[in-house]
Order: sequence, then C-alpha cells, then structure tokens
Amino acid sequence: MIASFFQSLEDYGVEYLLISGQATVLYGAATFSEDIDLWVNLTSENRDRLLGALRACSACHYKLTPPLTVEHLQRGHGFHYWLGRDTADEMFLDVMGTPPRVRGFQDTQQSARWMDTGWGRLPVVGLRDLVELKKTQRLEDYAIISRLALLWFAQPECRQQPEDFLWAWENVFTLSELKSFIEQRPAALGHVPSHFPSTVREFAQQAAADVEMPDRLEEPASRWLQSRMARLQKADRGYWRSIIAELKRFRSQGLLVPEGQPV
Amino acid sequence: MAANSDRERPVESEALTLREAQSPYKAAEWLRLTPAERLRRSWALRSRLPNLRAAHDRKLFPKP
Repeated sequence: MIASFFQSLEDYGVEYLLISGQATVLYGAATFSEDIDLWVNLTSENRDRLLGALRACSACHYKLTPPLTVEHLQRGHGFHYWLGRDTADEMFLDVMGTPPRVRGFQDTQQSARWMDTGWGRLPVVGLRDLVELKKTQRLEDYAIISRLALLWFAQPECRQQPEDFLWAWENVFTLSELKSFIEQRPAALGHVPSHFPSTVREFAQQAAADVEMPDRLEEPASRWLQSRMARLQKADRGYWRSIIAELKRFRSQGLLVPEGQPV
Repeated sequence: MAANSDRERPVESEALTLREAQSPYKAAEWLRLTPAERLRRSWALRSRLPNLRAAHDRKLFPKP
C-alpha cells in the first residue's frame, strides 16, 4: 500500500515534499512515526494531480477535513485521508499546502533532499526547514529538534561555519543534547549566542571539561531551555487558533467532508 | 535537491532489537543505518500498535 501510494504520486506528477515524522526518521532524529505527512504545492493543477493519485489508491476522507480547494490549502488547513481502510495495510495521510513557520513551497523545494527508500526515491524537506516545522505544541518534538540540530553537521549543505554553530545552539532544547553537542563539536563553545545566559555558557564549559555538573548550573540551565520551548509552544498555539476557529465554523455549517467518503 | 550524503556512513545489515529501536533513542546504532533502513524499521513498528487509529488521533487531534 505505502509503496504503491508513493508510486501513484509519481505517476500523477504530484509536487510534494515528505515532512514531519517520516522525515525525522529518515534523517535519524526519531525512531517512529505512525503516519505520512505531505506538503503539496498549492496550485490548482497540483491539487488535481493529488486528487487523481488519492483516487487511484481508493483513499477516503478522514476526520475534520474540509474540501481540498486551493483556498483551503492557502489558509493553512490540514487534510486527513485514510488509505487501505480496515485492512492490514491501513495508513493515515495528512496533507498541507501552507504549513507553519516555513518559506514557500518552491523555495523550500530547493533545499529538499532526495532519499532512496523502499517506497521509491522520495523528496524530503530539508533538515533546517524540518526543524521549523517541528516547533509544535508537542513537548516530545523538542528532543527531536535537538537531535536534528546536531545532525545538521553531517549534512552535505553544512559548511561548519559560525552561522551553523549559532543556528544549532538556537535549536538545542534539552540538556542531554546540549552535552552531546559540546562532546561532538567542541568548536561550538566558541560560538555560543550572545543572548544566552551565563549559566548556560558555564554549563557548556563544564560539559566540555567533562566534570560533574553542579546543581547550581543544571537547574537554571534546564529552566531556561524549558522557557524557550514554552515560548515556541505558545507561538504554535497562537498560529493554529484562527485555523481551528475556521474549522469549527466549517463543522457547524456542515462544510466538512464526511468521514469515510471516498475522495 | 541534494542526494543522500556519503558522510553518514550507513550500514544495512546490523539488526536492532525492538528495545533498541524504540526508547530510549540510541543515536549511535540508529545513525549507522541507511535512511531507507530506518524508514523500513520504523514503518514495521506500526504493527506493534494495538490501535493504530487511536494512536494517530491522539497525536493529531489532542484533547484540550
């Protein structure tokens, strides 16, 4: 089912990028994701190609899904589909045309990676765009982001320049990944962003020295990292507020596609 | 778009146990695999979920 679905996307010429969970697995920052998330180019022609590919796979609509129009794609809605319903190959597909915190589709496509997989050769969103996409309300995403930040240094696009280190510092959210960052990239110590508090700087220096970490550093460093996560979680809640309000209006007006209805 | 990087130095053949593949995240073992092998193993873990639909809904439509 999954390989034939991606083959169908190719057959119909759908312009898409694989994002979110499966992309984090491919990069090595996560070990599991149960569904498929796609970002599709939001032209009407591409929308038609996607509909053709979904119909070829006998996809059904899933919950809280508005009609797949270019306007709804532009307004940031998610579209949820069910393939292989009630079979052993059952899978869930989530589609967006305007995901949060990233550039336009064509700009993002430029920095995407083609990856060879058992499902075919897939276009996968670039690692740094993936990091922005993962700044959600889910706490567990921040450990994944932190791993992606460290994995950036293994990517062919990374030039190991100060800007790369500064970007990575801004995207490490856990103490364990911060320690790993220092262990793997000692040069990072020379590029700590100027706005980082002194406790975090000192924490990083102690980690580099490989000495036991005193509580007076660990606790405030942990609190500061958590406060950064909380700000991003709040921003994500704010981003979705108007979209969810519109979705509720669609539901109250009977404008959502019924669950189970074939595409 | 860039192609897969040779700098990742992947290997295909070594097996992970379920415990190693799930939690806690074991960077060294996991990163030695190719992206294709990571994807294959991750997707295979779906069969261990007692209720795939419920797991999907919990993530996508969290209760407020």
